[in-house]
Amino acid sequence: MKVPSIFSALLLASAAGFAALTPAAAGDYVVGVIVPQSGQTAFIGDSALKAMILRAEQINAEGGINGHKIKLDAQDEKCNPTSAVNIAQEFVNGSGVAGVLGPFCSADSIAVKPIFARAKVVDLTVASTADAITKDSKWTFQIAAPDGVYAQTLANYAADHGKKIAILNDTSAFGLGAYATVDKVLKQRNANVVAHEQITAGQADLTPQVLKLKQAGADFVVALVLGGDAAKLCLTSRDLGFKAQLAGQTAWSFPNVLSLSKGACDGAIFTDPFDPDKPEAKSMLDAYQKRWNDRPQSYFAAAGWDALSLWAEAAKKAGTAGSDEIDQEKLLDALDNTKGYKGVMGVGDATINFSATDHIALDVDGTHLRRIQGDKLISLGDEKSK
Amino acid sequence: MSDFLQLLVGAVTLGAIYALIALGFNLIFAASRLMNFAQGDLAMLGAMVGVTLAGTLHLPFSLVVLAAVVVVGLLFLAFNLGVLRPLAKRNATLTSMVMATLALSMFLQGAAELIWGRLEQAVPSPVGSTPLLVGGIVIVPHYLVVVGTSAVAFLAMFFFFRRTLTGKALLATGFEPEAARLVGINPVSMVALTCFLGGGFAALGGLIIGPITFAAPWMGLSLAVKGFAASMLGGLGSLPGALLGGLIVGLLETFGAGYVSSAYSDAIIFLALMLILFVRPAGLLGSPLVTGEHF
Repeated sequence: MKVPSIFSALLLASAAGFAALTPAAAGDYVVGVIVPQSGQTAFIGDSALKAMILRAEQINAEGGINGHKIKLDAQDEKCNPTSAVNIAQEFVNGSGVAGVLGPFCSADSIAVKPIFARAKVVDLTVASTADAITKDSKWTFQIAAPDGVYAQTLANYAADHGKKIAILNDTSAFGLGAYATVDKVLKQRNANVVAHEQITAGQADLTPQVLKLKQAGADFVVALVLGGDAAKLCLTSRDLGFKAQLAGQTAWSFPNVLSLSKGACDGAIFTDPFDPDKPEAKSMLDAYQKRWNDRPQSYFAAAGWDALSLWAEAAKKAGTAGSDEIDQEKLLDALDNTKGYKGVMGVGDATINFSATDHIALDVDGTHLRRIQGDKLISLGDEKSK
Repeated sequence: MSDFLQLLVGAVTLGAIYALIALGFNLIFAASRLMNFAQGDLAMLGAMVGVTLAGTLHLPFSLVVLAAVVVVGLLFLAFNLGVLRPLAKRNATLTSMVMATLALSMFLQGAAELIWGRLEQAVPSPVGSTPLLVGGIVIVPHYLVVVGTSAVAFLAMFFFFRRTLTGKALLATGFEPEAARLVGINPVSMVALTCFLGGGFAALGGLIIGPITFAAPWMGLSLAVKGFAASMLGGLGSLPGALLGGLIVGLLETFGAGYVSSAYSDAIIFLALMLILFVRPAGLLGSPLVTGEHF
């Protein structure tokens, strides 16, 4: 797919104004960014790319990486594996990149993994949450919390707060995998699970499942469903007068779910690796607001920021002054030795640590729960320590 | 008891949708013996027309219904004239024509993904979203729209086949194309007519299920599978069979999930389909014309 859509053409035109996106001069480090910029998934990439541009400007103002300036080369993955693979090939076979940030969509990240592994190029995926992202490749890192981590956070919260817990999952790879994790944690915690129901992703009518949860008297539903199914669950629960606490994964807070559910998801809680009240997050958000006149609520900006910061820290150790290339083996080694990095992502005192065998930035301590309130996402704060 | 009735409301609504998909399927089959694998994707296209015309442009719903039916009907008519007929003229087998509809199905999915994106989108309902409470049973107003639309569509088709000459000519074409030609019926235009109607009914089904399930490029597959099951159950090519089959599939899906197991509700449908076809190979109301007599 070489034909740019109208959207990406428009975006490219507007991107011309971004300082960090202007053509690379000799001696610059080019960082390839594989990011959704068009269509309905553009919202995933928008704030993350803006945070990266801001962070690149900061690093450049402070003298860059060993004297080299960062230039971002952002390409539209469209949340489509074919596009992502084409971009990855271009980065690997073209003029060369000093690092890769993205993709953002899980299927895209899995599709490009072998390309970067073969070319021996380090890839920091930004918002992909599938559990298999870092599996079988030492070249891929995962900045977002994986689905398994979200499932664990949800299960623990359910065990703490639910008296009669129900689990609802879809029968996709995501739903079944997350169910296995939730089920294990709830059994370990001896939680009172009163019902387990399944749906087919995209199922037309959720009435049977919601009725059964209602009959079981559930007061807390761990809902391992995504997108339209999440919205349908909120709507059906409201219609049938089922008032249990619904709890889902971070994707529940995305604009498509909020608009489809027309307010029915109000009060639902979701796992999130981002706490806007944390000092690191606050200072990033303040700088972001100053630069872009906007204050993002979702974690994408934080993930973009941390991905570029982690890359920059490692690049400083791996690069040599005078060369505009970065030895990827050295970069990988430097990233593997990242210890105690306090990111914008993660909650409380959680830090990001990598090793040769662990390329996942966040574990259970790095995620918490937030609540959907209209178009606002509220931190549970005191509620959490109850 | 109230749970039973609550499930029944959902079952009949789903059944009405599946019946509409099966109706389009059966119309095309009755006149041409062609199984149209793109039926679900034509329904998806109907829902997508709803996303754009009702959701983005806020046109009145009656206009949206008309537009979806005409646009998708004409699209499948064009496919008939541009692809199926040239294939038939080159003496293509029915199997290769069925494969052509499969190609159309994939083409429509890909095209819809490019135009509307991959995420689900809302299709506005012509009625409010405040549920009605009838004796403890919750009825979402749009469910009544679904059942009403489906009922009107079936009544219109019964009238068409029983009372109009064109309807009778259409049936005759299905039974015996050669004999129909001898009495002055043009089978080619009869098949073209069913292609328009079949596409139109699929679009109608997709458009009115949109507000319940949302619209997405991949929604066609599950609609096609359930619609096909409904068609087989009731009897391929049979008008009352489509209605009966659709309702049975809706009931099996909903009560299977409600009383047996939510994980196996789809398996229950197809188990029932196999059992019924074992006892009645042509479906419950199917004519023996369509049994596998050539095997």
